[in-house]
Amino acid sequence: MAIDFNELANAIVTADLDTAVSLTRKGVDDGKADGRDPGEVAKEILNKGLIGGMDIISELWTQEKIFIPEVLLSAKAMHACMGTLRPILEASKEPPRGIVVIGTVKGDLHDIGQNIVTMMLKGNGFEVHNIGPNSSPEKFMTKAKEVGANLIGLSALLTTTMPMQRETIKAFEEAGLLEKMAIMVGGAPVTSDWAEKIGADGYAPDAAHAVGLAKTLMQDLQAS
Amino acid sequence: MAKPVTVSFVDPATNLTTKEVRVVPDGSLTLLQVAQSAGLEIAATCGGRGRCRSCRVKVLQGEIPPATMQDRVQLGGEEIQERYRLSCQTCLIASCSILPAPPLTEGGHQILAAPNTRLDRGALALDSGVEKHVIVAAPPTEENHQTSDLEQIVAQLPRRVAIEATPIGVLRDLPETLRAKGGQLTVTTFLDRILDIEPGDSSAHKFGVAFDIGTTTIVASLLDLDSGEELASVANMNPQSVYGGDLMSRIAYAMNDPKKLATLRAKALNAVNDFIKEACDKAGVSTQHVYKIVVVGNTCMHHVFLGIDVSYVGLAPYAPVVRHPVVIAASELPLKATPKAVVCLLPLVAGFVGADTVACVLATRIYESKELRALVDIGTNGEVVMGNRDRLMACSAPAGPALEGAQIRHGMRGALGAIEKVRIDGDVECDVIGNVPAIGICGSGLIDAVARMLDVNVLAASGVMRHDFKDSVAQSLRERMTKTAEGRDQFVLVRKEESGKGEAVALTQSDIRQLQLAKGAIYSGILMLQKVIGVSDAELAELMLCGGFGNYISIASAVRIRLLPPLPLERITYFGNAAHVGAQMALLSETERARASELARRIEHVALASQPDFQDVFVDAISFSAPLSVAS
Repeated sequence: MAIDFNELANAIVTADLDTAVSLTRKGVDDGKADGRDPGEVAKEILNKGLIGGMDIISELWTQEKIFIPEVLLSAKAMHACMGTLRPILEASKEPPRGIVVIGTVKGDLHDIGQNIVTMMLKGNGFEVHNIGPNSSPEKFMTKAKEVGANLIGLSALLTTTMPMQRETIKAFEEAGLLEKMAIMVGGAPVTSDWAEKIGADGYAPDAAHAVGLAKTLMQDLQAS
Repeated sequence: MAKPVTVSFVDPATNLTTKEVRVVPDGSLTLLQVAQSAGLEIAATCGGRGRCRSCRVKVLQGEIPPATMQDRVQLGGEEIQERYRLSCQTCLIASCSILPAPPLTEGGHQILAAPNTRLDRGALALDSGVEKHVIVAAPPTEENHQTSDLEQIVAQLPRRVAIEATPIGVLRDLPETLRAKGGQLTVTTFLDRILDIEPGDSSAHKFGVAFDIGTTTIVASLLDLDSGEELASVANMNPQSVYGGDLMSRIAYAMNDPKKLATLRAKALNAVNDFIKEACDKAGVSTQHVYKIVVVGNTCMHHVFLGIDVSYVGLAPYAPVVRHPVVIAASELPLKATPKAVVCLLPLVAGFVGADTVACVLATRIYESKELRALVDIGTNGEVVMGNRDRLMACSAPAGPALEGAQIRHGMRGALGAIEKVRIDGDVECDVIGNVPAIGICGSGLIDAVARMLDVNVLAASGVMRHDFKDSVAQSLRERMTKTAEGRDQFVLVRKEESGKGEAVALTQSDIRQLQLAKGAIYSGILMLQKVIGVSDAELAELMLCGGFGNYISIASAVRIRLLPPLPLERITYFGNAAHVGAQMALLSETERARASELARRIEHVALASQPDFQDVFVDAISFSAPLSVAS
């Protein structure tokens, strides 16, 4: 018998880590007992339970009903549940929703923003490679090629490092990487006007919007 | 018989001491009477009977008289705790510095600069390094044994000087100077440099100027280097502000563009020139007799003032071009107002911990404290210093401009029409600067409002407005919990009918989030240094608020919203503009200037963003309540 996915989603939203993990384990065990394919079961738990919960979190954040601390706690609960599901999903070769390389541009040491975006994207089924702060264009490109990235996330938290977003995009363009990849930008001083000006494919004001943006960009990439 | 005491009054519009009087306290002389005898017009609407709040003052410095019954009725416990008193009811007992509650003059900016905290000259050695030697020297007479005008003069000096470094302007005037007044001359030196040689005796004229060049405001005071007395002071907005309000946008403007850097520099130099002229005019002294100028400022202001490229200060690892103290002839900068002077810039610690912070440490003397103490400058780019005589650590905490009212829907600076204080007792009551209908809310009002909203359950500790749970909120407040035009939750402080703006003045959910980020940045700086040093709240003997903004916030409210740590309120104090006080100390005393260099070397810089657990600390600091399980 399958578990109640709403209950799992709710446990993620309320950041009830113990309940979320035990429900996830129960779901896997019940699936086994019913003789179902473990990969299918894990995928169902992920999509209906965990991602379902993180969808609610994104929505609540967008409505300003919750804030960074609650989001991080929910992401932590989600992450704990993934500990159970990841080995099964990997064994069944379930493709991720998209592959993302994210980092803060060179000259900038602030990484909390991109860390939160990383958690939100992971919580929504993306494979995310966080290359950390102070990352040069070369570092972004090397990682992007290595993992076959679909999306690149460039964060800049200082007015003085915003120009580095432009430099990084230019480097990707010159290397001919933009045909198969899309670039999203963010960070406190960044605006949608700036994103447009430097030729980014998208801008999100916060991590909740970044998830929606990543989904849209993936659809565009797949359509083209 | 009682001894006379000094009462100084700070003008809330300019935050400078405008009046100083010496009076004998006789046990019945009130602060209001002292103010009126000094020609200061503090409104006493009820006629000085303790029946209204109009004459309230804040005792910034000095022993504070006990609160009277009328103080309790009119002001309440919190304002009493914050050193407010009704001046009509409070009898003078000791020397003090008084800030009449705003406004004295309408429209003044509160946060122009902090009250000009009085220098403790008693503890200061008056060794400015500037000396005037009155000598008599004769022109050379012998052709066989060649000498020179300059050598004839130097031979009469009681101290060694670097003769080769004599300014060219002095040499050009020398033939006439030496022969003008029968050979009587005044030679002015700074350490071993000759600054000027004048005919006659000008030994009574020896002045200096101390500058605090802040991102937002510039404050200067002209001091007599012999007596240490302040002769005049000037404060105004930093004219560079038109090229960006905050530090980073200022750096971004000048980045990789020498022309723009020159533009910023010219703004600073012009302002400094104008300030010197204005101060000298006010005091009736000649700018020619200003010999020493001490400048403090953050790294960006410091570099721009010197015309040094700030591009790399804006990029990791945010290193300054120079950290050592810089001593330069005013003519080299050039500062045209004071061609004879020498300009001393105090040293820096790091890209975001500048000479202003070093000056704060100097002024507060935490370097000689046995117990652990902290200094906090709350601003767009906040700084925290913590330590004692054994160890000093500093960090910068970028709060952003929310506390200055930016990014807040109805936010504004502390000017006419700004809500500056909020009480909720049954219903909401706001104090508005100028007692006019409110048009917005400034930082101190914002902190108050949020603290009270937490008290009355309009706001949950997580920062969410409790519009979905109105049952737990008092009936009288529920109608204030409305929606913005966009359908977002807001709490109305001043209703449309009572506001001066044609719409309600309210705080939105998004305003609360902005405040959480700003106060989270400052508090995480404090928490992080506590962590690195290993000092608990209980072990922190004192937390001093330095800088303009700190003087206007309610300490109780700041603790309530976790902008500051939960210390007993008496352990959190207002220091005033410590950076400017530090600059004055270095101006009057070479001992103190040397100490600044030693302190700058000693202060350990903690880069917040690269601390491994910074994220956890920051996330904790965002919340309005401490976590239940305290992580060790």
